[in-house]
Amino acid sequence: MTPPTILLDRTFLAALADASHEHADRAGERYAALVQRYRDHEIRLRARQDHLAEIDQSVRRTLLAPVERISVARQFRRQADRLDLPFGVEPDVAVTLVVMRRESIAGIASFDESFDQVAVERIS
Amino acid sequence: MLMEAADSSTASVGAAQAADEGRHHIRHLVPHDPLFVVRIVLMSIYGLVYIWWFRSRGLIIDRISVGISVGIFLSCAFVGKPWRRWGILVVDAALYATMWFCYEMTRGAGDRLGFPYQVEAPRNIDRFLFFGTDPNVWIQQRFYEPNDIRWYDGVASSTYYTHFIVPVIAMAVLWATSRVQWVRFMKRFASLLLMGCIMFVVMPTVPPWMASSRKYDYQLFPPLARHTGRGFQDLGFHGFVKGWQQALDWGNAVAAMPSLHTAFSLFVPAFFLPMIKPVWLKAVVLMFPVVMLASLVYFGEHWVIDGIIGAVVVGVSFLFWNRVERRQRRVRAERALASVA
Repeated sequence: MTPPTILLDRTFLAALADASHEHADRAGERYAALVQRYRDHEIRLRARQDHLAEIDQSVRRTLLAPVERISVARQFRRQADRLDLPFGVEPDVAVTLVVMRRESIAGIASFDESFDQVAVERIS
Repeated sequence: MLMEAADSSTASVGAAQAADEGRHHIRHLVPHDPLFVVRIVLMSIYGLVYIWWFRSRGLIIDRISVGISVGIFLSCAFVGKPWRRWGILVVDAALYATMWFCYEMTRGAGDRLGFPYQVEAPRNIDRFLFFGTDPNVWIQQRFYEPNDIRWYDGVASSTYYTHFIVPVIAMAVLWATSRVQWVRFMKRFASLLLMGCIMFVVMPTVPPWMASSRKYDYQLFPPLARHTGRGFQDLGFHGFVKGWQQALDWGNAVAAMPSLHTAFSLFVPAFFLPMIKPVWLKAVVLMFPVVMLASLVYFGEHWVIDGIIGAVVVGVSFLFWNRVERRQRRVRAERALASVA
């Protein structure tokens, strides 16, 4: 009943919000498709609150209007610090993995190839 | 272009899925939070205690006890969750309590605000619907045995009392499992209560048992037996029936229109219906409000038209919020797409 979530990662948000970004066109194209699916109630679009905070407010209100915030609790960060991953990732990616686990998210829109090592649906 | 983008996106997803082997599953990389098991154990203990309490002391139905009971359940369900989630829970709980408080106050005052009592009108509508027969009288004459409690008394009585627990259980479970769904549920539910309260004020409706009682002047037909507790008592739930009779003293005796018993019994199945796949099961679930309405008529608690209006109010609430939510999605999507372009 609740449609599955696609998490918009920091790299994807950055490309989406910045027209001069190397992946800007691709991100726009992917995002437009995701928004169509959001409108048809097939998916939810969500992003980490700390990642959204890096984006200009006017962009958040317009371009990212369908995107819901996920608050990153301190306990998520503590768990991410303690993770013993079999491959190296940035600490921020580890936090995203914890968020995805806690929020039961199986899809991510990201240009970070670290996520290819995890069995999640990556849209890039 | 958008369709191409969607296809291309799906293709890249498909490629990623094909390469699933050799990748690490997220549940193996990130363990459950350490208190997950504690939550499950606490909720299971709560469930067992609830059942024990129900069996030995009776069903919890007055608003304060129900509130405490739900609070304990949610405390079990939220152990170890982030503080922000607790904060949201407290705000939600305050709104939830306010909703019930407003409902109780409005419903309680509804019969004292000067609007004329409806007596003949609901009866006439029922007689029109049933070709000149009073359904309450007809059903009691054929099925009610003053000195014998039949199996269907137990069924009707049990169905009647689900009104006090089924919506609350649905809310509590949604609260613990999915706030998104809880919000969806509560928007529709609060709208239903609001419409109900408006009707209780504007159209205070005398129920059939009162319209037939020797204690009142109406006496539209021979006195009806008011026997909601009998079947349940026969099943051994004495404490509950006593508690319910006490709770009834706080109520508004002329809040018959719309029947919230029927409305709730339709509301909960209707909300969960999209989750049910087998058609036969959908049909069985949708029989619940029909059995509820038949029970209410049998007990002399409601006119048939009260139940029909209750169902209509549920329909209006669902249609309204479905439309609002669709519109919100469309507006946000259009805003985003305009910015992408």
